[in-house]
Amino acid sequence: MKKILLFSAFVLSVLTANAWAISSEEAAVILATRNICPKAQKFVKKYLGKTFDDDIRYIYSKEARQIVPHNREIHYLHLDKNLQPMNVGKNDAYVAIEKAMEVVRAYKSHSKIVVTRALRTVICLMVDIHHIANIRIENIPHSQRDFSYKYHSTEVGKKKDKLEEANWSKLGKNCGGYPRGFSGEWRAYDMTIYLGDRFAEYSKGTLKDWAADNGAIAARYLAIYKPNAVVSCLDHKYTDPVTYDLMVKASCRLAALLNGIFK
Amino acid sequence: MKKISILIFALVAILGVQSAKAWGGFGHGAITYITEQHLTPTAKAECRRYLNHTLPWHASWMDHWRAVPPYQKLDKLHSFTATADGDVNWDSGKGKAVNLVKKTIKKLENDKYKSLPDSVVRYNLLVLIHALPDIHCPVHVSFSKKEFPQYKYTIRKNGKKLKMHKFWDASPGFTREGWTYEKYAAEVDNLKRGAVKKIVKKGNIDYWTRDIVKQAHRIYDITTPNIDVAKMSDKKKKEVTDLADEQVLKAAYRLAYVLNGIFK
Repeated sequence: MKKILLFSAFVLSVLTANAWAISSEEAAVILATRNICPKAQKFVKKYLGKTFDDDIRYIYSKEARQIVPHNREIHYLHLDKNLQPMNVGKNDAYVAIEKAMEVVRAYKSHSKIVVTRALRTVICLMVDIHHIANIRIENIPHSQRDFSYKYHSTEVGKKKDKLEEANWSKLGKNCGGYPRGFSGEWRAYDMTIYLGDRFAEYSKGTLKDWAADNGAIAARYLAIYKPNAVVSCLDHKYTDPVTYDLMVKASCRLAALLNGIFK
Repeated sequence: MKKISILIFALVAILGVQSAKAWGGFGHGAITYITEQHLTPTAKAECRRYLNHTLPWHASWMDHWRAVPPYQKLDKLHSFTATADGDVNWDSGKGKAVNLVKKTIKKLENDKYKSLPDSVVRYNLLVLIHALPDIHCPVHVSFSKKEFPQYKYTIRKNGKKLKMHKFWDASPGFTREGWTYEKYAAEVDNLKRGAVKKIVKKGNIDYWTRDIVKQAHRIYDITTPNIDVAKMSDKKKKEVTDLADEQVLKAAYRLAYVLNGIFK
């Protein structure tokens, strides 16, 4: 019985992971590689053992999940009511990134395997804290857990209008509704066009500033999206460009963190 | 124990079906991906400037936004009706999608786009990159029930009824699960210049629509009433993908021709 339940949990986790995340996050990381300095490129290549682009597939593999502590809590960013990181403990994305960056910055005094693990943690969690559904804000109780809401499929009162059910945890994770058929490479190319010459603007600030920026965006959406809320079709559709923009920010900021090591 | 196993398999099956649903946008994405490969540098730069994304990113926007104001008026502009002569039926506004394409090109061609606000050019480009490929989809040509009563039927998938529209809408991705646009283009985008020229026919939209109507008739010979698409022979599957690929390429080359003409 226990084995069957474990097996079913494994099957579901694999299917869910494949369903949304990998290529969006892959794209964010590929774009980050385009914006890191040659020294950082060399560093990443040395510690990840292959090119940055290839390694993102490894990061989401079963093998890597055993190395990077992939428990549920580590993906969440906890913020107080002023949108400042709360440092709630070792299982918080912000704390985990800071700790991992300490190791990465002092790479000369750590073994290769320790630096590699830390680098993978930074890559994975930098993308994760840019998903609005991964942000938990102290004075917004419904941000603390997943919830369901309904949205109108079209304009209220129209004959075709239906109320569809959806989950908050899925909202920020489709990266703006990319159609299937986009490879990670092509998504990254699309993001490059979208980014234009705004790299400096998007990567400005510190990890703390970025957390607050993401928190402010999440708070705006959490004011509309609440448990059992009924959302208009307009509100629902217009989240797509915002989640896309956040994914581009994630890649710029990841690049900025890595560039910072070699300043 | 047995019940739990059944439950697990049911869950896996449901999740599998949900993934398969998303093939709908594959055709639009593939067409615009191929279009991109045939744009002049000027046209590509202008598309980037107005759209801020690649063409495949916007390819399905008219489907994505059709339920949302103010784009609901576009909901009825995805298809057109053909006459028995193989032409567009212009009566009672049934040639809407073709009309939309013609009007949109007119608004932008001969440098007219230069005097329009950027947002208006952007909107018209978005319309064009969806509507022009849309009219190339064989099931986006409606045939009058009176003239073609034989075309009103359904097909099957694993014994269950399936609409022709649903099947042919997704036909470029048929047998190609998990393919990227790059892989698809590498497989099908290999026509010689002469063949492309023949397809484009100097931008003659009336020729294009007659050709599209002719192609649309062919699907009813390939997928006959009650054919089970899950049990098709390999030969039959190839007939489906060959026709789908032909239409994808035609739409892609024609769209590229139009965009290159607008942004000379």
